[in-house]
Amino acid sequence: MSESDRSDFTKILLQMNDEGADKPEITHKLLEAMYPDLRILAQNLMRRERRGHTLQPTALVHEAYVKLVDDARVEWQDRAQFMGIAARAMRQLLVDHARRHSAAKRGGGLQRVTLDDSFGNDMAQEFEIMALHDALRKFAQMDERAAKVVELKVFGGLKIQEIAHVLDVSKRTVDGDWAMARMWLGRELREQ
Amino acid sequence: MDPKRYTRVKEILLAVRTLHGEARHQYLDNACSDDPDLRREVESLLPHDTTAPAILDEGALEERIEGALAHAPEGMVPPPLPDSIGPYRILGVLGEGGMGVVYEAEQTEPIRRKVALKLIRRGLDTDRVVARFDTERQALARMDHPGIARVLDAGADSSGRPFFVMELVDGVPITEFCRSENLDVPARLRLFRLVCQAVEHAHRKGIIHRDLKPSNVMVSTREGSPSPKIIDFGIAKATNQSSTDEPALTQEGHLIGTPEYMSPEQADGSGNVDTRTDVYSLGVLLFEVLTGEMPYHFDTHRYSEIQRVLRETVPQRPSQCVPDGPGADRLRKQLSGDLDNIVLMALRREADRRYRSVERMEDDLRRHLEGQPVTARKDTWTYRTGKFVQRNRTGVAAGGVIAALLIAFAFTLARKSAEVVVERDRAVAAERVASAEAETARQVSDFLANLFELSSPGETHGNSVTAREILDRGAERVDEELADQPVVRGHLLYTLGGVYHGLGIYDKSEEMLRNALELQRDELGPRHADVGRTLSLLCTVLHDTGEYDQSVEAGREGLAILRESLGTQNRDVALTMSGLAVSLQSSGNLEEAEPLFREAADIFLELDGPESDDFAWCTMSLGYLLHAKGDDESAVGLYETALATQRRLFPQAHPDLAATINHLGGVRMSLGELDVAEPLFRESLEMYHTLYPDGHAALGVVLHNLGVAQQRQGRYEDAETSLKESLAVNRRILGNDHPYVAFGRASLGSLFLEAGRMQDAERELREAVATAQLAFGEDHPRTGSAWLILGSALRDMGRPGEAREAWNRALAIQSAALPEDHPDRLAVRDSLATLSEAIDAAH
Repeated sequence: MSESDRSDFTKILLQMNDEGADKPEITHKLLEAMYPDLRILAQNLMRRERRGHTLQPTALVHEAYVKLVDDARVEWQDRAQFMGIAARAMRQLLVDHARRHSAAKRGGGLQRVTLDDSFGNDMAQEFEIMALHDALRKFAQMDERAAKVVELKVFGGLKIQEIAHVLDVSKRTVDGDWAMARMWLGRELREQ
Repeated sequence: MDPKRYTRVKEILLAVRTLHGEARHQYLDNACSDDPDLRREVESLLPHDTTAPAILDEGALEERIEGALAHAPEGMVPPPLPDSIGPYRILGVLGEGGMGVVYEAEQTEPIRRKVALKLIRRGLDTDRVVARFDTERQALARMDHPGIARVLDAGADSSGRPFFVMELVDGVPITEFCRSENLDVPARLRLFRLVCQAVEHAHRKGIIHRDLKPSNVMVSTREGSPSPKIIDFGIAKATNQSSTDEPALTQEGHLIGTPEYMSPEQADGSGNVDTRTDVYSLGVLLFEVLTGEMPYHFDTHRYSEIQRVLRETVPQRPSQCVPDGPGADRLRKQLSGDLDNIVLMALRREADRRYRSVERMEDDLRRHLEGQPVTARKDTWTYRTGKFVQRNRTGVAAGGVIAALLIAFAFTLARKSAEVVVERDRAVAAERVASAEAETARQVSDFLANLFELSSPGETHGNSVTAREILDRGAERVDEELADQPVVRGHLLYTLGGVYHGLGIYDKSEEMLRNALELQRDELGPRHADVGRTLSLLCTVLHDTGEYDQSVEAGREGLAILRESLGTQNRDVALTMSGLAVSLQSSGNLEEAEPLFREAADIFLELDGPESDDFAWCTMSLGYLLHAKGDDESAVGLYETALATQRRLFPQAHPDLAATINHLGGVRMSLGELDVAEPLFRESLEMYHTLYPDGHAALGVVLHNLGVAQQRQGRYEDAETSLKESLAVNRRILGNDHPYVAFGRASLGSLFLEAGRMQDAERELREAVATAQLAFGEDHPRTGSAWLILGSALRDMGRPGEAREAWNRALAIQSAALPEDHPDRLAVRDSLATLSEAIDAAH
């Protein structure tokens, strides 16, 4: 990630604060910009931490932040925005992987597929991720904020307090959203 | 659920989840007093508050994120990421391979850009690697092609490991791209042509890649169409251990790198690496792009094993390697023919026999895409080297054993080949350089060269021209165009006759040779050496059509003429002797055959020494003769000797080799070693299948022997399948009256006899006797054998009178034809004696 890339990224991030900013559009742009970097970043981070402990999504998101954002130029609020986007990126990463992975397992017919054994054992895992992703999309249609809470918590590894900051609501509200989401998703996933 | 309703449900749930027991019930009663649906909804969600799915637990996804990210291309965990290597700042890992790690890196001087940096694994001599790269640097700099990633720099890191810096390429390996984009065959071929064009560009600049494989051919979509980029040009050469291109090995003799894409000349370390090495690797790549499979699979990295496989095996046709699945049949159809030929032409073991350049290969792909005939041909046909056909000697024989009576049927096809003819052509041309006949020789070569040059599209019926079509057209043209040049015409007819015989098309071969003979006698005189050569070949052809008497006659005349004009120590003379000996043996005249084999063997030994194919062939033939005389032990010894030589001489499938293996199986079977015999037959069969994918009389013979071996192990169903298949092949290729058809019927009949299917047995055996009478004559020992088995069947059916009659006929024939102590004769006498006793006892 070069300085100029970093500056570009920060500039886009800061557009969030403009009057009448097209927030979904900006989020999408940022997501696009950071996704590939995040992947490589995560790979490297994971390898460094392989001995001893597993990867912390928060550590990853933090790392991404350091790499991608010029900290001196952004407010805390922008940082919160970033966390949200990073969580979205992680979700996409997992879903993409699951999708590709299960497609590969079903077999395209033409090509032998080599998969990492440590990960290739359990196809159920792939379906679980996909199921959660789909359920979460459905849930977001009724309760967008609660769905966001799930994304930040599950995919972004953020704590309740951090989520409250990111979403600019009280910790109590986040607690409530999280409880509701667990129940709703719990029923949805078990009924499948 | 509408939003209002959801909000209400959420409100109730969040309140009630903190309540327990009676309080919870009261709250619910109140909140949902007039709405049972609402209550049901709440109560269906509430239990999940305490038992949410594990996937939502804190940290539940960590491992999966790790898994998703750890899905590195080569499944290896690299060392920690360095901050920088040389002047390059490291940004991340792009991939890993056997040779090392590829990083995404940033270059600051002379311009700021992202690059790919390949760090070579420890253990290679940095100074030499870098020095070797430096020698290629200028050549590499001259390459300028959109399909080639530029190599920018090379150096060493702080610990002395060499690295290369390349243009950063996005995209995925070509095989992955084709699969994920689900490209159809034409699209794959168009993409592959672009790859060929890039490689050709490099070749023109004097750079050979040496390590083409999917991970070095990256494809991305540019402006809506797939665009390949080849990486690592110049790197394989620089990183090779030695300047002679020997493969990199570990101390234990294990190969470093990917063996599947390695050409035979790279694997054998001969150092003969040139642009055709890349042609080979492109062949492997195309194979994989089209089928998803690779032509060779190596379960091992053991170098000696890889060498052995490359040396001894022939890749299957791509169309035969398509894995089952949706669309598999269609794909097989698309690949068979031209594309099979194109891929296999690139994959030929000998570089000389591959496409001469990548451009030619690319051109063939273009032709195929445009529906034009391609230049690639099945492996049996080589044009450029001037070799007419591959060595195509067919010598098949075996102890086809009739189980019940231990009578060995001797099957043989004479060995004589189109190649012999062509070799003669060459020798003759050399002899005649100074004479007026040089012109004849030249015209013959021109005509043949012409014939095999690719015919223009308008002249061909389909997209590709089969060998048979070329020959038939050639035969027509000989008559049309050379009517006024009888000598040239005679010579060409002789040559074509040899080629038809080599392909197993016996009727055409005989026709050509008889016409040649007539012309040559008229034009050159009846005692000319060419007349002798044609007679010699005719002897072989007539043998294989089962006309043994005529064959012997032609052989004798041919041998006399050739001895007269060429002396005794001559290859043509020796070849004619061994051909005549085969015919004599087949006609039952073993006594005259044996000295001829021995004399021919002596001549070959004198001419070529013991390590020669002709001498090995004669050794084997002699073994076969001793086998036929009942001396199995001596036969085994001779076969083993011949086989050892042939295995050294022919690392791949070869007709001589296949014949000896079949013979050895036959004698092992006679000795009762069925577990040794069966695998030998199978090996021989497989070899013939490889050599003659379109069928050949040899296949019928070996199938017969396999069937007999199966029968003798009590596997009647397998045996019936093999024997019937053999019979079908023989009838199709040799006709209904051929001796082998008689043998086949006799064997099938004796199988039925042994399996207790008496009606089937009698029917088949009576057919066998009738066919034998036609094929051999009434008094031939083989006809006697057929009577013998029929007698056994009749005895077992409880018809002793008819049995004795049949056996008496057999004995009468054998007494006249076989020595007194011949095992067949003894067996019949014993049988008759036993039968007589039984009949007498019954009276």
